[in-house]
Order: sequence, then structure tokens, then C-alpha cells
Amino acid sequence: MSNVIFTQQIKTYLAGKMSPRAEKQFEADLERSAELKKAFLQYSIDAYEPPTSKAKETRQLVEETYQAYGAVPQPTLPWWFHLRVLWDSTMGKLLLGSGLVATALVAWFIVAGQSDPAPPSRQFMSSHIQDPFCPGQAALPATDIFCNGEATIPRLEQMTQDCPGGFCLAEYYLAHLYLKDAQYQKAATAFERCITHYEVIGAYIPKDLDVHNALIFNRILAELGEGKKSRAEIRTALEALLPQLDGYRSLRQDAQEVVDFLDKK
Amino acid sequence: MNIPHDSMDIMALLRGSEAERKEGVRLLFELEFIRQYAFYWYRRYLPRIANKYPEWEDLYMESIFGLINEVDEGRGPRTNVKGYFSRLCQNMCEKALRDLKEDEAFDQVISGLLGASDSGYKLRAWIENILSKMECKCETLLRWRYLQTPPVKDKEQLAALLQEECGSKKNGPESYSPIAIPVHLHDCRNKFRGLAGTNPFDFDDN
Repeated sequence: MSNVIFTQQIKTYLAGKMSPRAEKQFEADLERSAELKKAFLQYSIDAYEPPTSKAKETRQLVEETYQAYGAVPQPTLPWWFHLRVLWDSTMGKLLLGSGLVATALVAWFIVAGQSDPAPPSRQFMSSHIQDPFCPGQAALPATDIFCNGEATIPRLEQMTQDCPGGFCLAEYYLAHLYLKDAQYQKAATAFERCITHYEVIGAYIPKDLDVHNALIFNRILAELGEGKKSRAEIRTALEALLPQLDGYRSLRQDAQEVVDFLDKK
Repeated sequence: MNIPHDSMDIMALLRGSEAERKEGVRLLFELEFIRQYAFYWYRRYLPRIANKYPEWEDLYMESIFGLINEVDEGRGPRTNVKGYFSRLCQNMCEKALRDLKEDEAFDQVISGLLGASDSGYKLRAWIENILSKMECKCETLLRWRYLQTPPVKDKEQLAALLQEECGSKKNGPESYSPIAIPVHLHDCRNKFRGLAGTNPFDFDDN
């Protein structure tokens, strides 16, 4: 084998670029082959670059400064240095790796437990809204407009501008339109006003209809859509409402479906 | 002279006049991050580099020397001194590993060649000739390590031999600790190779 090939092998070996198997083979060859030994010695001598005079001067300067400086205090490493040192050992990798996985799992459980899932779809909300009462004969303009299907949000909003007693029936219908239009914040406020002024609404509605509880349920729906209250709060409100709905099958079923929806998510 | 606190200012001092350069070297020893990186990389490569750097301060001093050399050779950090120095320390540790490998191979080769019947005698004479030109420390160390039959490999024993033959100097006694023997050996091998380069051994003449 030529010296050029030997030299190439020696360079690769010393640079640590040989595979473990090739390295063992090379070491065995070095033990056995006189030619390779000679090539290695020659390479070792040729590859050696004696330090320049400038480098010698620099070394002297560094050594003198170091001696003049006295004892060098051992530095305090920041915590992340210790982690990196620990990471280098196999045991450290295992420890830190399992620690990271455990932390990630705990964080995931905490986040998953705290954050509410996505809000219910508009379709889900629409299918559970309790429609407002429409009497057989129109009693008031707002009822007339709404029950004939002519009501729009701007029109009803216009009607609510000048209510004589501070609340008028137009607001009752407007709250439902807000909810259907997914304007949940406005709907929640409007239903809250309806509940507060229920005596005004109740004057026009037959006693056997549970309009009060329907208003409470709609307000809860609006709050669910609004997303300001937590799922747990919504669920508690619904659970408080459910026992009062025993005589009203349709409303109870809707309320139960919303509870089930919250439980599923 | 105002003491610059910015490490780039220190690099500028190292590129300056002789007095500025001295001040720059002094200020390098003041920088905490230089100590931190040297200590950090030393710990990361322990125990593999302990033969070349028995203490972290050895790598610390060598890395400062390396940094100044880089600046002298027109390289050196341009913007990020910390990053540059950290990489430099890592490279020095990697080089220490390569040196260790080379030293081991060198030992194996020299021992093998000295034991060979065709070149052994002439090689021994050639080595003797080079050793006679070396200082007491290297001559003693290399002679016992390579030419003695059987060669002395034990660090304690080599330290005791060094102490006995070169332990006192004109400027006062010099002590040799077993832990520093690999460093001395590495240093002496390099000196040997330097001298061998000017007085090459002709294998083809055998």
C-alpha cells in the first residue's frame, strides 16, 4: 500500500472519522504492519507545526498574567449550565427526559381541565331556543309585528326607544331575535331585563305557560354562547333550573340536552 | 487607562499596541463568562480530557491563549465574544481528545518500531540523538517512557524519576506531580516531533 493511502487512513483515524469497526481494524494493522508504523511516525513528525515566535511570546504573556492574577476563583455556573452538564450523562438524559415528559403531562392535564372547549354551534343553539309566546289575537304592535314575521332587530330596537314604563314588550321579542342572530351579549342583557320586568310580560301571557322559566333558560343559553361564564357555572344554573321544569316536558328536554352537551365536552 | 467593560473593547485592545495588548490579556482574566465557559466545557468533557487538562484552570489558561492566538491570526470574534469563546473551548476539548488518540498511537508506533529487528537499532540511535538535544524534563521522561526495557508507563514512577533527575533547578526546586505527567509527556512528544522534523529519520535507508 502506498504512503498516500496510509497518510489518508492515519488522518481519518486521528480525526475520529472512522467507524468503530474500521478503527479497530486500523489499530490492529498499526500493531502488525511495520510499513504503517513508519508512515505514522513520518506523518506525526511532518504534521507537527512548531509554535511561532509570536505564539511563544503570547504564551509567556498569558502565563505571566495568570501568575500575577493569583488564584482564579472557581466560577459559579447558572442553573441551565448544570442542566446541560447533567444532560450529557445517560442517567441525566433519563432523569431530565422523564421530568420533562411528566411536566408536560401535568401541564396538559391542568390546561385541559381549566380551559373550556369550543362554544356550541349556532345550529345547536337555534334548535334549543325557547320561542316567545304569540297570542291568537294581536294585543300590542310589537306582538303583531313579531308574530306576523315582520320583525327585524332594527325595527324592534326602534320600538324600544320610547317605552313609557321603562320596559315594553318589544324588548321581549328583541331578546329572542338577538339570541337567534347569535348576538349573545345583547341577548343575555335583554333576557335579564325581561326576567326583571316579568310582570309586564306576564300580563299578556296565559298562566299555564312557563314563560318565566323559558326566559331563564334562554338567558342561560345566551350566557353559554357569550362564553364569559365557565361551563361549570352554566351547568350549575341549569341544574338549579331543571327541578322547576317538571311540568314542562319540551323545555325540560331542551335543558337536559344542554346539560348533556356540557357533560360530553 | 480606562477599563473597558465591553468584551469587544477587550478584543480591540488585543489588536492594539503592546501596552494595550497586555491590558487586554489582563482584562480577559477578569471576565466571568470566560471562567464559566472554560469550567463548563471542562466539566462536560471530564474525565476524557483529564490527561491533557488535569485541572479546569489548565483549560481556562489554554483557552485564553487560544483566543489571543485567534485574534493574532486575524480571526477572533467580530460580534459575539461569548459564543465564539464557548465554541473555542469546545474545539479545544475536541482537540484534546484527538491529541490523546494521537499520543496513544504514537506510543504504540514508537514501541513497535523500537522492537522491530529491521529498524529498531537505527531508530534507537536516532531517538537518543534527539533526546540529547532536549531539556532535562523531556529527555528523562521520554527516555524512561520509550527507550527503557521494559518502558515505564506508571505515572507515579515517572514523576518520582523526574523528581530525582530534574527536581532541582537553579531558580529553586521544581516538583513533578503524577497528575501532570500526561501533560508533560504530551508537551515533550511535541518538542520531540519538532526536533525530529529538523533531523528526519530515513526509514528507506534500513
